[in-house]
Parts: sequence; C-alpha cells; structure tokens
Amino acid sequence: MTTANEPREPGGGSHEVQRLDMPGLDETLRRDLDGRICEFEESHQRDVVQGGAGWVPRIRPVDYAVAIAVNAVIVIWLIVVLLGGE
Amino acid sequence: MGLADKAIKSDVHTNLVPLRSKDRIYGGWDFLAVQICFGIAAWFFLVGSLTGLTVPAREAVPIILFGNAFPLLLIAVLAVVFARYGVEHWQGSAAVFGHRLKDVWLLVYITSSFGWIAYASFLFGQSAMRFLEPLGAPAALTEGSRGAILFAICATALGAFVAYLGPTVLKWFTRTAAIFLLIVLVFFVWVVLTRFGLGEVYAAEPAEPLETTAWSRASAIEFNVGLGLSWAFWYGQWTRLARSESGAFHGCMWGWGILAATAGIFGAFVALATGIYDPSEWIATLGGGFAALGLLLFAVANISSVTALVYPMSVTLRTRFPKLPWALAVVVCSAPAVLLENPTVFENYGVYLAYIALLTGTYGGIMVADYLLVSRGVHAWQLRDIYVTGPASRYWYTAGFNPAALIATIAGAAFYLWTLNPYTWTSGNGLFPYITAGLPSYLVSFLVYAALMRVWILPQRDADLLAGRVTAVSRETERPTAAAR
Repeated sequence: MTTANEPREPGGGSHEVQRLDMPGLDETLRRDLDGRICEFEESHQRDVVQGGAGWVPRIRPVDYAVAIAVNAVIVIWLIVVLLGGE
Repeated sequence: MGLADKAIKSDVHTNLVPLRSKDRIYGGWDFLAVQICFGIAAWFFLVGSLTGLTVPAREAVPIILFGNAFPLLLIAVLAVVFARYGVEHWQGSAAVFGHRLKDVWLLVYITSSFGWIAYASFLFGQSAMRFLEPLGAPAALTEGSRGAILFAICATALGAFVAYLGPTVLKWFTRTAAIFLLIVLVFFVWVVLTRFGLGEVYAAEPAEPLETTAWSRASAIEFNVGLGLSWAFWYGQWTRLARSESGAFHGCMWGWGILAATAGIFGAFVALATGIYDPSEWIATLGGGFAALGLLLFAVANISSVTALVYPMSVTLRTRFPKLPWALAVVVCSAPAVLLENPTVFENYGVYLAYIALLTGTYGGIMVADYLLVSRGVHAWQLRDIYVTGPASRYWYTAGFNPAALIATIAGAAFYLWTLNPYTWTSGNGLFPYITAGLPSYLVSFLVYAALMRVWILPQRDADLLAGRVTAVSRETERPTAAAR
C-alpha cells in the first residue's frame, strides 16, 4: 500500500493510492479494514456510481411509494382535523 | 480474555469494518421486530402524555401519527445509505461533514443522548418510589424527589453495568424488557377502555393547553416531530446490519414510526382521561391490584432502555477511539446523564424534545440532501476516503470541516432558534404557531447544504482531485520524512 501521489478521478476507486491512517488502529484491524474496502471497490463501487446496488440489493421505487402513500393519508387526516372539517 | 471482552472486541471490529452482504443478520421482518423493541419505550409514553395534556384526542391521534411518521419519511433514506455501504453511522457521516466536523456531531450525539438516559432513569426512580411507598419504605425514599433521584442514579448505574457486560446479556435483557412493556401497554389499554371508554376520552378537554389553540397544536406537533426526527442519529448503527435496503427502509419507517407510536396514542388517552403526565403515576392510580406488578415491569423496562442507549453509544465511542478501555467508554456514555436526573428536567420533556428537533432536524436535512442531491453518480461515497483521516482524503475538505455542512448547520439551527426558543417557548419571528420549527429548519439545512455543495464545494473538489491537489497536500506532509531519510 503506497501513500497518495497520483491524480484521482472524482468517482474513481482510490485504493491504490491511499493508505489507511486512522489513529488507534492496530495492524490486524487495519488489514481487515483495508481488505473489506478493497472488496467493495472491486465488486460494488462501479455499480453504486452507475445507480446499482452496494453490498445488498437496492431499494425499489415501490418501497418509497408505499411510505409516501401512507404518510399522505396521515397528512390529509391531520389537515382535515386541524381545519375543523371532522 | 473473557467471553464478554471477546464479544465487545468483536462488536468494535464489526462496528468499524464495512459489513458485507454475508455479514448481515437482519431480514425484513427481523428488522421490523428489532426496531419495534428498540423504539417502543418510555419516551413514547411521555410524548403521548405531553400531547394529551395539550390538545384533545381528535387532534392528538393524527398529531402523534404525523409527528412520528412524517419526519421518518423525510429522513428514511438514511436507512438506505448505511445499508448500501455497510459503514457505521458516524464513520459514514465523515463523507458529508468532513472528518473533524463529524467528530463534533459525534459529541453532540453522545451528549444529547444523555437526556434519553435521564428520562428513562427518572421514570425508573418514580416507579421504584411508588412501588416502595405501600410497602412502608422510609420516608426519605418515598417523599419528595430525593428517592426518585437516588433510584434514577441506581437505574443509570445498573443500565450501564448491563451494557458493560456485553451484547449477549444485553440482547436477552432488552428482549425481555420489551415484552414487559408490551404487557403493561396491553393491560392498561384494556383498563382505560373499560373504565373510561373512547367516548369519554374523546370528550375530554386537555388539562394544560397553551394560551391559544394554534400554539397548542404547533407545540404538540413539535413534541412529536422532535421524537420523530431524533432517530436521525441512530440509523447506521442498525441498518448496516440489514440484508436489503428495502428491509432497512421499512423496518425503521414502521418500527420506529407508526407501530411504536401506538404507545404514544395510548399515553395521550390516559393523560386526557386522568390529567396525569407521569406514566408511573397512572400505573399506580389505574392499576388496582396489579399496580405493583405494573410498576415493577415498567421499572425493569426503563433499565433496558438505558442499556439499549448506552451500549451502542459506547461501541461508537470505542470505535472512534479504539484504545479507550471498554469500562471507561461505558462510564463516559452514561455517568453525565445523572446531572439531568431531577424533577425540573423530567417535567420539561417538551423543551428537551425541542432541542432534539433542533439538532436532529439540522443534521437530518444535511445528510438527506447529501444522499438525494450531492453524493450521486461519480460523487457517490468512496469508502476509502471515509476511513482516511487527513488531507489525503477527499472528505478532509477544509481542515477536516466541510464549509457547506458547517454553514448549513448554523443556518438550520439559527432558523430554529429564531422560530422557537425552546427554553422560553416563545417565537422570535412569530411563525411558530403556523409552521412549527423542526421541519422548517430541516428544510433550511437541506437547501443551504445542497446549494453550497452544488455551486461551490463539489466543483472545487472535482478540480482538486483531477489536478492531484488533494493528494499533493499529502505529499507535502511526507516531505520532511523523505528528507530525513
């Protein structure tokens, strides 16, 4: 692992140019962390940049739709009650 | 190394390292159950009581549902982002705030959470006092507030000790306590419905309304929005354990929202029927022959709430400072709460909720703006830069502070305080009765952060990355070392 010395793309992976330098990390933890980050960069980073999944399956629009619909009902209920229309 | 030490060390490791798909333990239904257990606690009873003292039942029910569901919709994408990247909540926040400003927010998270611990502990104290009173305990323990304070301190110590014992004890303790709370809830729902009936509850007038209807309604909404927005500090600790983004989203949305808020609706009904704010008092008043058992179950449930707060706070702190001894982390995350365990703080829960709305609304607005409008496409989070603390990281910004996030924080907080002074409960701009304060300050932070990032910080950061100026700072710092060689 080398230190930073190369220009980087805004969305590009950067594991070849930066060493983890969090304070307080022991060598085992640093190695585990580095391995996990490399795995994400190699297997998922490109997908995430392109609007795909990360470690787990991506949320679907219908999930948002359900939550918005339920909240819309509550908001309408509140407005009706506060306007005294009940 | 004992089993508990190994488990805690494992938790710190798990907390620090991004979790892969195969490391995730919660499916959709598991996640919903866990969030209901974590969410349903004393603070829902208290906010319900507060709402029932302020507005009538026909307004209290939709206000409690709105205040605990709509803010969760506004911040729900936080569940998604931490599930996607698998990073711990505060570690991930570095991408948005910068590494040092993130630490400031981490401090805010821990210090503001002392209030939650204090409320649960004081409720334990009140319950213990009322439990001991008929048993002929000394007057020093059952009269005035001394006994409640003393027992509250014991509750904090006991909750912290359970947290210290590690995740296995914690898991069984909190599960058992959640069942205790559900028993209390179901029993007293039955008592209230049979003794008063919905008709009487809906006909009752609130005991402590504010000077105008508009202020009462806005205040009741603000109390509940404060609780709803408060979850903004707690997403990543849980949703990085979810096996899908959908499971993470729905588990938090419903478990912390509508389902847990049923406890709040019940609290409002009791407050309307009896005019009582303190849940331990209505357990003693309405419980009849089961009052002692109800108080005992409620007391244990409150210790569980303390533990459920102290443990994740301590793991987060230990993750930030890996060399910090576990016992010290637990003490740091629990002992200061004792200072808040007194009747004055307990009776001003609304003021606390307003401060929480100020903090979490501002924080949530910035985080959500980042997800929806900033960190997309080529600007998606880069895990390595989240873990590199120093000028070589793209998330170092200006000396570890993202100026856009800092300005948005100040703008959101200032707008909140201009609209509602939580301490005096007055409105500087007179807008509070019409727009409330927590949700608008969320919007202010959202807009300010998104605008500044898009027109200022992102173009500058992209130019620095392409020109190698971000990494050039790192080379500068290494030159003396190279020269020394």
